[in-house]
Amino acid sequence: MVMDQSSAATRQKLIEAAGHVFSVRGFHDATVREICLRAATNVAAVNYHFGDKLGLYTEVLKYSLMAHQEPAQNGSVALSDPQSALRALVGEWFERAREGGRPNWFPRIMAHEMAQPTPALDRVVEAIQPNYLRFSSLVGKLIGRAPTDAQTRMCVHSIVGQIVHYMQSRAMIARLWPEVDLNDAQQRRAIADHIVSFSLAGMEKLAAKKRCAGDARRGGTQ
Amino acid sequence: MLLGGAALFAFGADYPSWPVWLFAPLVWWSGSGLLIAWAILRFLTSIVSSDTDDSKFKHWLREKVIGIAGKVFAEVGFDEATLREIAERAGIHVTAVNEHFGDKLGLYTEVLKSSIMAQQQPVQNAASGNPADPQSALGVFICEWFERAREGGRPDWFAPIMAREMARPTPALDRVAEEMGANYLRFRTLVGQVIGQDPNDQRTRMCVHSVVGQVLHYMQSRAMLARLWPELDLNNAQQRRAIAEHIVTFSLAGMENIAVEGLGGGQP
Repeated sequence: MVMDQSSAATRQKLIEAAGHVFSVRGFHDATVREICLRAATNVAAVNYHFGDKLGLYTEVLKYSLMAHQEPAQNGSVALSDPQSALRALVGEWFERAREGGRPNWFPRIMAHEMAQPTPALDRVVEAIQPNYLRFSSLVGKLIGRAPTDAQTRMCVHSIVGQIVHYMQSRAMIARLWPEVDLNDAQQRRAIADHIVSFSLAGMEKLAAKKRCAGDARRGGTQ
Repeated sequence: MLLGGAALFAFGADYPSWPVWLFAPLVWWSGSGLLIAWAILRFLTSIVSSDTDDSKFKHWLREKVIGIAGKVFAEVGFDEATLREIAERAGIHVTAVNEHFGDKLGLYTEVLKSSIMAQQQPVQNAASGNPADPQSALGVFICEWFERAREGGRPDWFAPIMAREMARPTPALDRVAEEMGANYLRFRTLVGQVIGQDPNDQRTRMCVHSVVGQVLHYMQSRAMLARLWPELDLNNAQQRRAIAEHIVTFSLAGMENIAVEGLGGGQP
């Protein structure tokens, strides 16, 4: 479907308006009417671009989640140097931790979604799956295991957990550690660098363990 | 008649204003002096013991209300939840909720506290461990926390409430953060010992949050994890153990690296 400019603008306006309305009301209580009123369009536009309320909601979730998924695609370019690729990827992803790095309705929508997952979550996960696999391949390369190996998955989520923590628990961190300011570029870089060094050391240890186990096994079968 | 009198005496213990003495001559007349003696005794002991019974009941009611409130707050959020609905679901009058918790914010604060503080015990254990071996203490702490986070952390509503609270903090968060301060310092002290830095050093703090982030991820992003990693089953004790041990190995290696850097002249 080729969209002309005004059509694309309407789509974008609808996503922005819907993001706001869904964040306040939640998926179930939000109405297409209110969203259209806010976006100054008619209900037909929603049907045309998104099919129905769930379709629109799915796009809103994707729109806010995919924003931080893009760096993974750049990361895959440099698989020959996985360490630098990881550094670049974490750095870029962490940039989203600043205020305005994502729409300000994003955390509230995710809160609603985690409280009561809708069918949209399945569709969104499908959409981010390729990036997840790319990231898993990168981590797998670093520890010398397959992308779907349990060890690789645990490393992936050790890294993801560290990054997402600063976004998901931002309000608590601000209270426990008042000096931290994620709007400060230098601090963001320091934390991202920390996560990378910390994780690379952790993965190096796991890779070394595997090498030792492999040597022992080879030694034992001779 | 005798049975009726006996029943009245038995229940009369809870309602001392009942005109039980009206029936006394009747029962006395039927030759049951022992019964009366027993009833009086029961009445007297109930006065003595009512205090502890009452506080036990209050504790039970409190836990029950917190449990139900947790569900309601998780479902509809702080703003939309009403004390009336919570009281109705608990099967008590709304004034009883007011009496115990003050207002909605008071009740919500207790819900938030109970879900966060339930996870605080392991760090207290770890901090009282052997100071000569902070690595082991940290390892034990992470494993215990990971276990507790699943079982004792009221998993059904903990994650949604925290997600809502982080997305839109209420004044309750300040109170809870204040109470967590002591344990946060304990944890920083422990991690500081591992990397040879001050508890207030930025490196110590970043290491603390690297550990916290890894553990919380499995609770806060559970819905997402289940979809991205279908083989993951946190109800499987063996898998939980494997993940907790992974976090320990991963984190200790990360910290060791920082400790070595620290010896080499510190971070720019």
